[in-house]
Amino acid sequence: MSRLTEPAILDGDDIDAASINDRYTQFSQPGALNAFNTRDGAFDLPHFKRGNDAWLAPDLYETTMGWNLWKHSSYHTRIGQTTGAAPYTVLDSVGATDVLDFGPLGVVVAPTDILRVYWDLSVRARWEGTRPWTGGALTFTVLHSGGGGSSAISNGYGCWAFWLEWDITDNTLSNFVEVPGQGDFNTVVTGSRGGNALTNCGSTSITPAIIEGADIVEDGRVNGSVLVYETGWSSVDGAWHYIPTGGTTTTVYGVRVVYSGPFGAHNGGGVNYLVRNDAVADDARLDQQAGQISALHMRLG
Amino acid sequence: MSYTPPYTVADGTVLTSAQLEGNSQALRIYLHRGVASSDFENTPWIQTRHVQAPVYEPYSGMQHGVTGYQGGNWAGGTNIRLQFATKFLSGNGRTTSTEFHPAPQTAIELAFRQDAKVLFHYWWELENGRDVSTASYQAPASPAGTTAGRRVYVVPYTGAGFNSGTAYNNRSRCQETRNAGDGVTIGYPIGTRRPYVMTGGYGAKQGTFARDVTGPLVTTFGLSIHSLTDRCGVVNWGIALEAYYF
Repeated sequence: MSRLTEPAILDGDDIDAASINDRYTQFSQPGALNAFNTRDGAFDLPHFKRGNDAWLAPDLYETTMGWNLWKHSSYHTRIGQTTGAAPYTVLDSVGATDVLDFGPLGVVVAPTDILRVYWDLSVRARWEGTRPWTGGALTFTVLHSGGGGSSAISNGYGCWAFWLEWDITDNTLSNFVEVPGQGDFNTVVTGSRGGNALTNCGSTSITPAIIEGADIVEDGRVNGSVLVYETGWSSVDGAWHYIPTGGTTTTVYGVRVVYSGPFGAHNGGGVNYLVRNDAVADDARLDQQAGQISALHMRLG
Repeated sequence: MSYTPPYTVADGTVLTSAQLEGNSQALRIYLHRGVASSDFENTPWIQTRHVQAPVYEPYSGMQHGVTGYQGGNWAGGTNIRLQFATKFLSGNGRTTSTEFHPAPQTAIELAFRQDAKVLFHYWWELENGRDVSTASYQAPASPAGTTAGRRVYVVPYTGAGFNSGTAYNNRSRCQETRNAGDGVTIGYPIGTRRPYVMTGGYGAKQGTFARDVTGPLVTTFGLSIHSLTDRCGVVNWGIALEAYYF
């Protein structure tokens, strides 16, 4: 506490050397200026050094990604993938992979920091052939259709998945791996089909691969025809954050969005999974257009 | 270093006015520009009460303080603010049109006092169509099932001064939803034949727009729409912004 406690000089007081010296030396209080010397509301924006002082939000990165033709006059088309495949990356107009590059020094995420990532991407899921999703498994169910018949119909789980990878090796951006909490969907779950437990889908977003219903549905029975609608162009978006654990510091040189499909839902041993539908992958298509990805590096404490 | 009086008075010596004034002058200099970091208590001591309290602007839903802006606005609250998107404001559904129009009330204007890192968040939930009008300059409406080309696009809008000096619809950040594949019937029983979620006409989207802002700057953030359908109901929407001065 830094306070001046010397009383004022009053009539009748002696003026001697000690008294005069004390009135000056009381200002000599190193390491003592603190809250008691600062009035309420003393600090406002003009007092803070101008410019980005890298204190609360040290780093902000953003970029568009994909092929920016929003009317969809041209786009990239990807064929469905089977277990073991490396995921597709988001391609720009000339077919190069888009990455959110954090620069030569990367972003240093300390244990007291958070890295927040947001992205969106316009895509269109579609199929070759006639209702191929009713082959294989995972993406359809069979309902009674009256008269002893049955009808295979989408169960609503058919999808393409999108997730994040990062490069924490160096700024060559050639060592991308899945971000923490995210798997690559290639761990065999059932039969020979790879997938992730949902607990290992930390950065995953999905877009439906099928829009299908049925007419005249009653008491669990399909009495009318199956109705198939184009999924059409739509957008998928995602958000993810990272806080280093165990007191470690992580240097991140870049992040990127990757995707694969088709997937369906699976439950085994009480665990819910997103699993590849290898049997019909060759008929699945995903058209990829454009979007954006941004990252904000902030202090938590 | 902390203040040290240049002259120390000793008993029995003459004290001159210059010596006294010298000490006072040194003290003035110290208080004006001589306080060093070593003079401050070496533990965090600035309390929240020492910092100017942020100002809350209730209509825009924004809070502005020394760290920047935080807050947002949404379709709910005491007044439901359902919005519509229609092709009649953006080219009548012509496939050649590239017109966008701002979605009413979905924008906020902010005054950045200095350089800031800005993260604009937005989301919306819409039911698009169903539009099966037959003008030939539009995306096909027949045969049935081919209306997916009639889309509604929503993009983040940024005001003047933010992008090369002009207001800008950030078309590279389009997010779209297709026309409903089936719709409302006028035959008995009148009503929705199938829900939007079942026929592709339902869109729940969210996006962000991040940018370093050079201040001071007064600008706007909001949503703009390009519609290829005659009627699209934006049943819910929200915008929020976080901006950091340092």
